[in-house]
Amino acid sequence: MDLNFQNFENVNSTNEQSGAFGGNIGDRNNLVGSGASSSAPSGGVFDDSQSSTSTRKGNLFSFEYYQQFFDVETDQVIKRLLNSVVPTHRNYIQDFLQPIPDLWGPFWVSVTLVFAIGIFGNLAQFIENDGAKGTYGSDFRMVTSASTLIFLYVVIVPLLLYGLLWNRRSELLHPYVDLVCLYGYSLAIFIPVTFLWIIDIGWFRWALIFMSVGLSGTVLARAIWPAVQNDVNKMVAFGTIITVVVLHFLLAFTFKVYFFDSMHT
Amino acid sequence: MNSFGNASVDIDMLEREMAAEQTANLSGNIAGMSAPKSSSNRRGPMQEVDLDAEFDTLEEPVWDTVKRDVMTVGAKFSHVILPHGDKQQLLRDWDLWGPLFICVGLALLLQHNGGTESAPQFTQVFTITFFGSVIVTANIKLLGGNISFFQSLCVIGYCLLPPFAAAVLCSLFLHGIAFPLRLLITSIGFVWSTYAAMGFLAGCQPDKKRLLVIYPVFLFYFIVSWMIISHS
Repeated sequence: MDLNFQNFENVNSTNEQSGAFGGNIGDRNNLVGSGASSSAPSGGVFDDSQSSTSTRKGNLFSFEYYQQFFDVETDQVIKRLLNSVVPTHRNYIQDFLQPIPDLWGPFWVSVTLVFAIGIFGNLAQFIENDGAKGTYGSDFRMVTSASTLIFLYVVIVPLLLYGLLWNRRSELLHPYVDLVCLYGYSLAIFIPVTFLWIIDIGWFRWALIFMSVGLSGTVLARAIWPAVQNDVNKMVAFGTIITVVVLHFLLAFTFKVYFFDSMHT
Repeated sequence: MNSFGNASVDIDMLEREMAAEQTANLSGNIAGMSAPKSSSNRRGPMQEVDLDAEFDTLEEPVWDTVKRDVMTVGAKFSHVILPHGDKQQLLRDWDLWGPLFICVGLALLLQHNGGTESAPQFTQVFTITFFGSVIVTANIKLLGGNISFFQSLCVIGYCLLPPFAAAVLCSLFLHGIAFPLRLLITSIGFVWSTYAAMGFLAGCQPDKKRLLVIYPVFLFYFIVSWMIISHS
């Protein structure tokens, strides 16, 4: 997968550079000054992403290849976690993930979420059963199904998104790892939410869904929008963003219905 | 290490002497007659070094071998219960006997304890305890910890002893009754194991990454404790 990607990126970059070689530095200044707004030329943006990918090397199956994605420090991870919840920044990928995205966060956020669902989901059902004897916490199947769902979401959706960006010849082709990192961190908000879902009040659970999907969906949409905004077909651009947010909403909805509400039906 | 160095030096010296004797043999017969005695005298201390090194387990009874291994496993368990003495020595001769016994024991204790279909299978508990510690170890290595893979696996596996003891108490003696007491026992096991693992693993990381190492270890013991409390 990654090998493919590097090939195509190189091809793209040579084309791009031969076109806009002279004004590269000026373009980048422009970009910093005016933000990633509509008419920013692609040279600067592209140059950034290209230089960040060129530092990643090594065999896909070697230990060192993965070690470079664990080269993070505690305060960096905390900053990424907090900013994945609060959308006060312009673009999550460019502001926080580049130059080096990490896989520590996505992996452990996903694992924590799986077991948070396993623990709090069982607790919620125990409370809904009014503490009937023998019903507490023995449903281990929640852990297996939650882990399947979450890891599929974190791996497959970025893959589809990456495929789409590549297919549409997007000027801002985020590396696959960046997208995985973005999606992994965007799940962080659901960990406190699953804790609050213990409270068995219908509207309260819905409010939590809308709040959490609103916050992390905004982060996702703002991070992906610059990559699709210059697409010739505006329908594809808007469709991508809407699909991303809807999928995120569906994930949260599945959590609620399947793991927390199943006693009501 | 020291005794080894001495031994190699001894061997070197011996070889030199033997070579000298060979040349002496060529020069005269009388010197050759007396040579074997002196060399056998010198060999005395070297044979002792051999015995001390404990690598010649072919000759000893099987029971001695088993007893010695059980003693080392027991020494590691005692380190987990009461951290004392030289940890580096313990890290240097790691083994995976303790983790194996604990993983199998936990999986046997927790499988189908509720008698319902929803309880975890043997495989699930075993997978979570075994591959959980492998993943936590891989995390430490990926973050650049200066501890070898199996040393860390050994530490994390041996530190499962307090939760295992809690599981034995809860599922054999307190099965299905006295929830507060089970909760208390399991929490003590959880805190104890996390504290013991911290003692071993805290030194192997730079300060800026310490929390990134500690959190997965904490999560792992928390999950194991949760399985114990909810399936006992």
